[in-house]
Amino acid sequence: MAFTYTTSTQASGFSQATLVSFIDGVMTTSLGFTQIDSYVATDDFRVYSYATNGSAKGTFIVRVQVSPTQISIVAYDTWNSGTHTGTGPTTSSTLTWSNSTSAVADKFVGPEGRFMVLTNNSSRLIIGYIKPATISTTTWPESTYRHCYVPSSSSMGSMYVSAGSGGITTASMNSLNLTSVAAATWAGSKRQVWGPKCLYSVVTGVVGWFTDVAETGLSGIAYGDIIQVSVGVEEYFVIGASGNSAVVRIV
Amino acid sequence: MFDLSTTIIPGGLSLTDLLVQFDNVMIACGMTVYDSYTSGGNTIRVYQLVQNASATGTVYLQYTFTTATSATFFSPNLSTWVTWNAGTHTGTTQISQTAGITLYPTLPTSVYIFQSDAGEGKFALFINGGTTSVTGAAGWVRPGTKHSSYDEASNAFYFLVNSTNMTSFTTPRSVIVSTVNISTILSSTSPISADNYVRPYAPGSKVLYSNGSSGGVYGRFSEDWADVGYGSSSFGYILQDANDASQRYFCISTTAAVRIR
Repeated sequence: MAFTYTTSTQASGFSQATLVSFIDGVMTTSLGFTQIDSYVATDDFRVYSYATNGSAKGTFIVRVQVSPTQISIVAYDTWNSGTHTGTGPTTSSTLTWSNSTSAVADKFVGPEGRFMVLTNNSSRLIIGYIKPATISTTTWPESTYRHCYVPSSSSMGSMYVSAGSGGITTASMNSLNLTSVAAATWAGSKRQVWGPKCLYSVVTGVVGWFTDVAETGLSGIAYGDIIQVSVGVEEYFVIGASGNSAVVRIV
Repeated sequence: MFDLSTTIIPGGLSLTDLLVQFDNVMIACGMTVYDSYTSGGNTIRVYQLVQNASATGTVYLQYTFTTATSATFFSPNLSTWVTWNAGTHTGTTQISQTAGITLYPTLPTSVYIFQSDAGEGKFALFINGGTTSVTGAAGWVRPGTKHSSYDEASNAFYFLVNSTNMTSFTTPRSVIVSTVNISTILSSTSPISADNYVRPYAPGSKVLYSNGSSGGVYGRFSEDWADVGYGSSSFGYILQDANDASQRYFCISTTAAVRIR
């Protein structure tokens, strides 16, 4: 099943409060997260969660921090809204924002994740999670290990995770790193898409397989390109236009 | 799955006796002895490999055993041909040249022969006495799934084994590329499984690809092929699937394993 893809735009000239509101609307209304905490400690903080299932580690928690200059996200294992503190924080991912350009949120919702790719000030930040369709719950049951990953950058080449499989905190997305493949003549001059991709770590090996996250050749692609393998039947949105050439299926 | 058999080529063989053993290995790889002759003091064997009835389904492998090196080892030169005339010992359209095997007549050689029951390859890996690494490779592989646009009438969809580490293969009759690579996922040197055993990873993930302007992914192997943690594996390891111990994989290189019966 593909991701549902929609987009929202906040026009340039916005304030910090407007940016916080824009992100909040996308997270709750578009992506289906629940806001579980909201506070100000110099910066604006919002904490969101989403229960992918009823398992102890089946819930994804992410804190969004907006300062006058930066947006920073950190995922947590648990969160205490009374003390505004969490356990098991991941490494943060950041974007330096500016109101001189618009803020665009490309939103993706599907069985393998809920996230936005926020584009602003010539940079991108992914807020939300991806979760492989196939995971080894025998080896790494969700009662103990979390399988929701935060892409560390818009290339989607590496991930952060809190309480991950075998205790890992990072994971990588495999790639063939094919650079020259654009539109193979033998394939009808069409760009190839192959997959699925998997996540792995040097500690635990392969920790999950996707069905809707695949790969294409790096040459000539740009973020936001739509690859139509079969128009209206099988289409992909290019996200990792550098480094990992990750594409997500949207049709 | 692959049927795995082993044989030992004894040491101290003459070239004539050695070739009898070599013929048997090539026959086990699905070939027939098509021609045998001497030329310029060299002994030459030609094997016919018939993959299928397609226009590119047959190829001839010509091994030239140079006698000058026979005192210690044979490193036959390999040429492949589209057609071969056994009467005149000549072929047409020489496609590629490579050398993928070294034979040591003075020492025994263990030969591991892999035969897929799913048509994904018949190949042999040679290990010379006194070593633990693969010293020669012969045979072919064919991914179980072919890209839908790959035209087998124009491009052969079987690939000759020519490297001892099984990382690349030659395309005997293709107008696209001459060499293809097999993919690996676990580029790290350390991954072992959560239970601290070397395990087969990601069965079904192996693809054959080429990273060129005419490249791409040509085909995907079945779950009979798996990844292994680079650096934590060694030829000859028998690996059990972490979730199903009945599934056994034989480590054929530092980055690949095949499921054996």
